[in-house]
Amino acid sequence: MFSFRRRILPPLILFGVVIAIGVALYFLERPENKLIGTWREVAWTYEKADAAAKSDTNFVKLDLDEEMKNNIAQDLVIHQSETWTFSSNSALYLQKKNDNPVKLKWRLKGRGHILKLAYKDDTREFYQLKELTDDRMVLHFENDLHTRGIVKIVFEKIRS
Amino acid sequence: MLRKYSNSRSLEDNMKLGGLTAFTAGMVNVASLILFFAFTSNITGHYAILAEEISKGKWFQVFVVFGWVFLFFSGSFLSNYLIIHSKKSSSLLTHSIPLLLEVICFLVVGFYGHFYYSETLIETEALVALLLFGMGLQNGLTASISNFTVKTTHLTGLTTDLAIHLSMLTHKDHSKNPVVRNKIKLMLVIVSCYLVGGITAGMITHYFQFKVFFYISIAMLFIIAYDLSQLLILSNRLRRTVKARAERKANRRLEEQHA
Repeated sequence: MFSFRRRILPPLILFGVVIAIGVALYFLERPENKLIGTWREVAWTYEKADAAAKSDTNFVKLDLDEEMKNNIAQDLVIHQSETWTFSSNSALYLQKKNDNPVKLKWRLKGRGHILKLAYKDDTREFYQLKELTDDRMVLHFENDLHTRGIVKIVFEKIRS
Repeated sequence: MLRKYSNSRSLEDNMKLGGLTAFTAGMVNVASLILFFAFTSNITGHYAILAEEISKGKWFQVFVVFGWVFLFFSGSFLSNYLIIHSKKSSSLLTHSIPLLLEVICFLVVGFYGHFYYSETLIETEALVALLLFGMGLQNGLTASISNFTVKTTHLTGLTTDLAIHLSMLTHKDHSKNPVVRNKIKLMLVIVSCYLVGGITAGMITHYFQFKVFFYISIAMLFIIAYDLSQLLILSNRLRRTVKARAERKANRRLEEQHA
């Protein structure tokens, strides 16, 4: 009995906790499932890190107009989009008004906090998935086109 | 590197073990960051993320990160558990088991990643979990057999200890203390090897992808092979000594008989 408690029980407890974590993860809603559906861009915000460094205030936030948005995203795949449709087979369709949709491959990395987009020619872009609820998604990516800062794209879900 | 235990270990033993395991730990950490966007030997960071996810109420991420931390803990627990519950006579075999388990973890990650990985989140979480378990095994083993002198993935504590020991050199009572100087040497070796391992992985992972874990496994197996070779050399030397002694005894007996 003493040997069981000292020698066998502790590894069994560890194994049990690992199984319990696995079961909990099985029943919790996975971020990929929340992502699937059609999302519409509602805002682009540019947060200047350098400006924040100069002052004690928070990041300076700028709402970007269409020209600035195109300027920042000109080298990125996402500049062609207004609606993003994530499907369960890892395909992402980016669509702009009156244009044909562009097909990409999407994947979540890390603990589900990094969105990886892969283009046909294997160009890859990575975005930080800062917020993901049933009806709102916020993506961040770093940009140093004007000054060092973070671009924040806000989406709302229009179709599941 | 593995045979000796606790206080019977020399500085050289600890430097070899610490250097090689820190090199592989640095490689694993950077390779996993590139391939999975997750650290695998940085538990302090995971605790910070865990706290952040709890505060945001992201329960899926909370369980993922808690699972990772717990697997690192389980690896360290299992390492020491195997060492303290084993026979003291076969230290190389006992100390090799956690290392072999770690190599199996790396080989599984390398093999699965190279042939089957389709980048789904569940695969990423599982492979990161396996790497963290492997890192826990390694850290538990090195810390346990070196009497907590060698900790290859614990860079926060190591940097603090290094700073404290270096500051001790500024005091006349400690500036010539060999214990302090040896500790500094050991810590510098560990930090440098960790950094070199990380840089190596940073340079080769983009090219080799998951094959990196096969090379890391080879480096880990080298530790066991080195100790085995030392053991063979020692046993050969011992055999030769015993043989020579027996021959000397026989010669003496012959001389006595002649006399």
